[in-house]
This record gives sequence, C-alpha cells and structure tokens, in this order.
Amino acid sequence: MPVDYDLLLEELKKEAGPLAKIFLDKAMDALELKDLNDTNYKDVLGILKMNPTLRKYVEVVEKRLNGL
Amino acid sequence: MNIATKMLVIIIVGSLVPVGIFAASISGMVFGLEAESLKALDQFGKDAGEKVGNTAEKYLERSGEETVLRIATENAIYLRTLIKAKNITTIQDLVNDPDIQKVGSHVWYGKEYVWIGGVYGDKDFRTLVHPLSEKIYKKHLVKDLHWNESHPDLLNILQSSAIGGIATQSCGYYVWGEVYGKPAKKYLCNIPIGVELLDKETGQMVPLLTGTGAYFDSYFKDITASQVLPGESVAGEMQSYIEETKKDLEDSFSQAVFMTNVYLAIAIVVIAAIVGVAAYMVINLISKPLDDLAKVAEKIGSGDISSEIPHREREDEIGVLARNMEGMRRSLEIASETLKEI
Repeated sequence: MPVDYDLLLEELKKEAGPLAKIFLDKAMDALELKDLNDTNYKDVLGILKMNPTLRKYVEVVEKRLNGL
Repeated sequence: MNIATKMLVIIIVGSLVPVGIFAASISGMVFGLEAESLKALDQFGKDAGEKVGNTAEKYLERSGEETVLRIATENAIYLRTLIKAKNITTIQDLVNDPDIQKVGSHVWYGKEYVWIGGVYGDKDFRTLVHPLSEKIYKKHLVKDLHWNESHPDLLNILQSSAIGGIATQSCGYYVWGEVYGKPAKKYLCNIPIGVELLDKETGQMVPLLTGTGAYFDSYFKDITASQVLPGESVAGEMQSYIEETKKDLEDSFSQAVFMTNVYLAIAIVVIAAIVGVAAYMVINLISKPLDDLAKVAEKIGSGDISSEIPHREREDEIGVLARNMEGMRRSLEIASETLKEI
C-alpha cells in the first residue's frame, strides 16, 4: 500500500493521539513538503523522532509502515 | 450507587419479578382449578344423587306395582280353575269351601293379604273371603264401613273395580296405618276372576274379583334393609362414591400442587443461577472495565498522565473508548514533555 498523508496521519494518531496532526504538519513545514509519498515519509518520521517523547510512538508507526 | 449495582438491581428485578408473577399465576391457576373442580363435583354429586334417588324410587315403585298385579292375576287364574273344578255355583258354597278359604285368604310375604270380593251393584264391591272376613264380610264399604270417611283413597280403588256392576281390573295407591311413624303407603290390585256366582241371600248373580295389596314401604324396606326410602339409599350410596372421588381428586390436586411447587422452585433456582451468571458477566465485562477507565481518567484529571489506559485490546465499545482515551493521554504526555523542553 502506498504511503500518503492520510495514512501516515492515521497511523500517528493511533499511537500519539490527536496532537499527532500538529507534529506531522510542523515536520512537513520544516521539510517544505506539500504532500507525502513512499520516498519522503521517512524524512518526516526522522524529524518527528527528534522529539524524545514522540520517538517511541513514531518508531512503532515506522515498523508498521515498513511491514506494509 | 455505582453502575454495577444499578445494573445488578435491574437484572434481578427484571428477571425475578416476571418469574414471581408467573409462579403466582400458575399457583393461582392450580388452586383455582382445584376449587372449581371440587365445587363442580359437589354439585354433580347433589344433582346425580337426587336424580338417581328419584329414578331408583320410580323403578322400585314399578317393580312393586308389577309384583302386586302379577300375584293378583295369578290368584284370579287359579281361583277360576279351582271354582270350576269344584263346581261351585253359589257365594255361600264359595265362602264355606275350605280350599277356597285357604287360597282366597292366604297371607304372602308375611304380612300381605289376598282376598275375594263380589260386585253387588254399581261401585258396590263387597269382601267375601279375607283374613278379617268376619268384620267386613259382605259389608257395604260406605254404608256399613264408612270408608268414605276413614279410607277414601282405598274406597275409590275398590269402587272403581265395580263400576256399572261389572268386575273390572283396578289398581292404585292408598294409605293404611303407619310405618316408622309415617303414613304407610300401600298398592293394591283387584282383578276379575271371570266367574259369576249366585248369592242365595239376595238372589243376584255376583261377578267375582280377587285382589291383593302390599305395604309399599315395608315391602321395599325388607329389600333395602333401611328405614329410609330405597331411592334415598341408592342416592346415599352414590354420594359416598362421590365423596371417594372427591377425596381422590383432592389427593390428585395436592400432588399436582406439590409438583407445581417443585417445578417452580427448580425454575427459580435455574433462573437465579442464570441471573447470577448474567450479573457476573455484566460486572466483569462492562462494569469493572468502566470502573477501571473511570479511575484512570480521574488520575489523568488530577495531573497524573503516566498511567496507561487499560482494556485497549478489546474489540467492543469499551476498547474504542480506551484506545481513544489512551491517544488523548499520549497526546497530553507528548505536549507536556514538549512544553517542558521549550
């Protein structure tokens, strides 16, 4: 399944709750991304992992997406 | 009262109240049926006893009437043969003949008389041979014996056997004396012998009759060996059968009531067990998880956001609630930690 914004947001919300959208949007802004795909979503996850509290949840999402 | 207690109360009331109503209805139905059946049986006993008593009385009456008629008829046939065989031609010869005396005045059944009489005119029946012959021999029933005053019913029957001066069969009931302190009912039949003899004193030809009567009450009391009327004895026997049946019915109903109570008790125990299992399931599957969620929510509300929300693995509404609460807790945790870093 191809990764897109909605899928990543959904997976992040499952792990980190409603605040995930704020962090995802901020990370995309920081990378100046308009949309997400199979190649750039890992950069976004890398930015998100920089938050130590968020990291453990992002890693769970990352593993799940790798398994798709 | 917490939600578990409330749900428990709802389950118990919702289950046991209908069971109680059902049990009361069944018991009421059984008791009602018993009362109605016994009442109906009682009424049946009364009606049947009365009807059987009356019917038995009627048949015994007919039987008695037939007995009297047959004895009188057979006596008439025998006397006709005897009179002809002995070539008797006058009333005087008749009353003096020892064989005729023997036949015409014998007592049957220990107490019932047979007599021979003659027709001396319209409604003028006179007794010729009788156990009490001397007192009533050839006496006019009205002028001499005054039976129109003392025995009008008997007079009527005897006069009916001499209507128009002709010997005629006549049967009927009359009262003669008392039995057990009550007027004694008798039945008699006068039967034509079919012979006319000359009365040498009056010079007239006299058609002969023979008759007999039976004490109706005493005749049947000997049969039933009871002071009550035979029909009443039969009705009494029937009533005793009814009482036995009633007792059997009461026993059956007692058994039915007992079995009903046993089944109801079993039903209540089974329902109570089902209610217990249902209550256990409600408490463990719904109430307790909700209670756990409420406790964690209270902790989070008081600032402790480190406790994870339990029951997130469940696939039902509680699982959905728990997962969403956990998401919010994590968001709070991330926001809180992030704010601390800033």
